[in-house]
Amino acid sequence: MTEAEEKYYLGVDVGSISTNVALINEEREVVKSVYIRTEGKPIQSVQKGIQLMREKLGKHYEIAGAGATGSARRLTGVLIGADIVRNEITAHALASLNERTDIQTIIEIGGQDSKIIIIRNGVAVDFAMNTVCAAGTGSFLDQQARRLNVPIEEFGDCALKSDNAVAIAGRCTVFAESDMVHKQQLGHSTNDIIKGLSEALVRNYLNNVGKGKEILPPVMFQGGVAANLGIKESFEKTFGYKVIIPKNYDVMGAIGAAILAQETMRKISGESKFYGWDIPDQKFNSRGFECDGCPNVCEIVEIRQNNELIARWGSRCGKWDDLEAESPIKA
Amino acid sequence: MKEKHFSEKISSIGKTENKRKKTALRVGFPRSLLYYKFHVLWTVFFETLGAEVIVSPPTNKEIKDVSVKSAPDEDCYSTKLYFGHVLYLKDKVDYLFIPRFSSDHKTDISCPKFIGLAEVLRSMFPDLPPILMPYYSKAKDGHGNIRLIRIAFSLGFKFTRNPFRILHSFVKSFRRFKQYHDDLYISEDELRRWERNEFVFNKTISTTNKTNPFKIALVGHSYVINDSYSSLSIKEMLLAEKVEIITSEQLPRSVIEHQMSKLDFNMYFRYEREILGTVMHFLENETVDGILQLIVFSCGPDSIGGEMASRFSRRKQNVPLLQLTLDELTSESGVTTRLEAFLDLIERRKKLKENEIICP
Repeated sequence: MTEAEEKYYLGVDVGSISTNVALINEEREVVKSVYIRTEGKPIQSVQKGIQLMREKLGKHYEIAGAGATGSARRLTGVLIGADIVRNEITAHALASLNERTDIQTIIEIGGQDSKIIIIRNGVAVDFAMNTVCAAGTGSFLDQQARRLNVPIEEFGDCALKSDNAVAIAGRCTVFAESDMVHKQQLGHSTNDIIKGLSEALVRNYLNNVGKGKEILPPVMFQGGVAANLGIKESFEKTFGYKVIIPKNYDVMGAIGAAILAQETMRKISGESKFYGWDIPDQKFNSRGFECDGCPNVCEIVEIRQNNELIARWGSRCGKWDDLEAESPIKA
Repeated sequence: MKEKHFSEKISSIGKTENKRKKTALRVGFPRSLLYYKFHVLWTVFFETLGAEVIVSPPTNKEIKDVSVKSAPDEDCYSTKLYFGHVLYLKDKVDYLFIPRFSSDHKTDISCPKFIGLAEVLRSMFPDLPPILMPYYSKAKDGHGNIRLIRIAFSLGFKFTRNPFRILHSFVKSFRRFKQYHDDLYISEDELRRWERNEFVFNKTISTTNKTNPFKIALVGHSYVINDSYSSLSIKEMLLAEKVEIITSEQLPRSVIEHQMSKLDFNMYFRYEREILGTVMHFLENETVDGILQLIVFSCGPDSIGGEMASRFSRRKQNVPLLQLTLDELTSESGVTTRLEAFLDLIERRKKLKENEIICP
């Protein structure tokens, strides 16, 4: 079978920190994946992600279905013409179950989100997400790495080099930072501090996100932070058994979105709504305004493709969802 | 219907102000907290007395912004919102009605904030119109019917000189209040029939469909689940997804009391009883697909009820429980993500169950 005949599914996961694109085949094997930073510009990063994908693969891959997930899933769905837009919890659970059917716990730590998903008999039965605090997520590690002048890629290895973790207060990011400074001033080595930080992060995760959840092996650890071997080791030390890091740990959300797209297309059996590989060449922009129709003063966002209004949302009453309604801002 | 009625009244205040002064005194009810429990009683009482009842509109962004700015920061989100509703009514009414209600049960009480609100507001905002703040507590002061009648007369004489009219208003309002409860609470028999999928509350769901609808128990304080702004339209979102909802408000009181008798302590917060009782009932009977508990941030009773509910759900894991904590900082997208994931989880669980039945 040639590449052109086989069916492929595209998943795009746009999170707060990273944008991931994954292409899977009918057997749910990852053909190619892209991981880039969102840098606060979801529209551009979706375009860039698709462009990189196109450069890696060429245009001849026929997309039979596309899915969007992540915190910018709705926006992404409009940009790429997704067949399905789903939340990242479902996407992550599906991607992990696709990797191994027997897992019982998924730990996902991303840029600003961390979640735990409890799986029993191949179905997600419970989940939790961090609420108001981002302590113990990728952004925090990023920031501390910068502060300690250690490249984030080497952060995990530094922790592994230490066998004497320094106690760091992990309850709050701000306090953890001042505690770290204090330990530095006392003369502790950077490696020991990094190891202490990894342990604090794991403790924080288990006390906040994992609070009251029954964590049973096999445990799968994914998300950008799974690249950090120090954190992995700390989890293993706490649990007393190995955690599994899937091969595509950093793009699991996108894989999940692609699987969801495949599921959807099987159900509805039709053409995909995917716009095509020329998405990077389109001009998208978004603008917002405040509706003054009632005391709720909703913030409305408009998405335009080549100056044509393609989506609008944000109103509680739904009056702006109608694309025919005349926009108060000029194109 | 009701909504329109209120807003029409509000918009007409300015025009006929002088005329109204002579005819009817205006009493303002903040649409918040106990209003959601007692609005029928109060409205009928004051309207029969001849007063004009003005209710603040459902919470909106303006009211929320005023609330967050003016209320003490340690109050729970719902109590904060009360401040916004009161300030909305400030210049529109002759009296504000803020009862200091503590308890209508011999041991169980409601949140102590309800007792303090009137005086806190009066001392924080001296320019408020006079506040009618009757105090009633069965648990603490042994108040009973005589107290109620005394309250009725002391309130009533502000609006009429006719004692018979006051008595009539009193009887009529309690009769209507009872009727309201009869309509609100479902009977045990109705509950059983609902649990067996013999009927649905949500009219948009077709009962002819072979697959049973998703059933979710929406659990929380009346002033949270019925206030769509502060609950981020969760109820509306569920209804739009064609989910069949039963609320903690609706559950037969006998079912709740039965569940409460199983606790080894007395849950003495009156309204938390219905919340925890509903959670316990459905965890035990497994007749819904999921339980969604709305918790108000920094609510004392909810912090106990929420913790108890999550412990019970860990012991009985067949019905998933999602707890959402709400306050003015809660992001709608965070809530949507969790809600979506929760519905997905229920759907996949349901499918798995059905498959097990077909091919064990």
